Amino acid sequence: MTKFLFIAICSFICVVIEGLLDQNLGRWFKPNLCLCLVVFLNLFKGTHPSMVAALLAGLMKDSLSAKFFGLNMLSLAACAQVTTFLKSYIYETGSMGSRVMIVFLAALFNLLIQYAVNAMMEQIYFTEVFRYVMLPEVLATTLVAPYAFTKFKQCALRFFA
Amino acid sequence: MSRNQTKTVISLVALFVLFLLISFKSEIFAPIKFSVARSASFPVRVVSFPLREIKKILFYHWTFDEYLRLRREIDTLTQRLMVQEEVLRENSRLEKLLSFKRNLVYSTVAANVIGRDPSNWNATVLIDKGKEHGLEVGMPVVVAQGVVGKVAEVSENISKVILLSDPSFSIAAQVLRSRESGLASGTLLGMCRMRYLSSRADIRVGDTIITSKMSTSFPEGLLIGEVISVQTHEHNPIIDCIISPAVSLSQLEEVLIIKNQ
Repeated sequence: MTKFLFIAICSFICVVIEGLLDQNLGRWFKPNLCLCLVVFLNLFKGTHPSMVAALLAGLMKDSLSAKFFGLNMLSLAACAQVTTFLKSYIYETGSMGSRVMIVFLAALFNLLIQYAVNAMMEQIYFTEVFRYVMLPEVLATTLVAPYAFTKFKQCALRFFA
Repeated sequence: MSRNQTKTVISLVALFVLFLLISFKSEIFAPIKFSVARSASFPVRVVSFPLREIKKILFYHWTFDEYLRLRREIDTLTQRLMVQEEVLRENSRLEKLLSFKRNLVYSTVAANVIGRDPSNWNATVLIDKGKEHGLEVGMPVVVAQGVVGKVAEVSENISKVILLSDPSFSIAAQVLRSRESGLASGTLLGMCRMRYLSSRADIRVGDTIITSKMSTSFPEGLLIGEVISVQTHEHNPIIDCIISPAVSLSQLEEVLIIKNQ
């Protein structure tokens, strides 16, 4: 129950911070903090907690959107599964570089799923997606990942101390 | 394929099937969606309020200059409005003569913007009015400067509005100067794109785009924006126009929903 509460609170805080960054910094700096949380939980606690975080954070993000309900849940849950797959090949315990690499690949995968679903339903151009959605989000998420991981770890240690 | 890889692939396929099921029956989750949306948007509003007040103080001089400019503009527009009211009265008299009835008065509801979707894929805002206030899906949303979007989802006292710059938003539009018709849709740049214009269409940078008579949801003549780019393609029979919306969609605080036309 404590674990679930921790995951729920962290997911909520991540969604709120993303909203604040959007309102105050605009469209060019949009790190996907929910994705960072999912990857963090997968690396440190395993697949099940990261799937819970993916579904909770995805539900909150889908609630704010007016389009395909479940898309964020799908993409974050898929990223949780892909992280499980990637960590057996890339992750080295204690290496921040390998964690950042996993976050980068997970962010790319997340955006590709969102692009695939959006492209099926609407007319969107890949060049616009690449320049205005993928680049800002992937770069911002990768940049912010080390700091986010440190903070998540501090919160987890304090919560479970 | 190793066991791990097979497991991952099966999980991804199962997730996708679950997503399709959830997506097609999303109305079942409406109460959860709106409760979560309200909870997630509240802290953002609370924290944003002092930041907005600080910005107002920091940008005082710019704001005061803008205020003076707008006051001068109001004086000019008031004079124009008086002339147009005269034209409207004459128009109304002539319509009566021709027995042509048309309702020129719209019933509107004012609403505050209480939240926003932070995703770059969507342009959606939450407003604090819903079914209780007579709102329905598809109702047009405007401000004094022009078109904002339309109501996409409605609950008892909160609604979601898809903005003009959302890729899934489309509206029948026409060029004010040349009366060329097309379809204005949102793009991921935060702008709009005017589509289905032939390569010979009379449209240029600086043209004003308004809603067309052919729009089923929006009254005609509402301002959409201004053309900022026209691109012709050698082997393509259509031209591409980018429109900058007249309304500053990132700074919306209050909107009007048109209830009837």
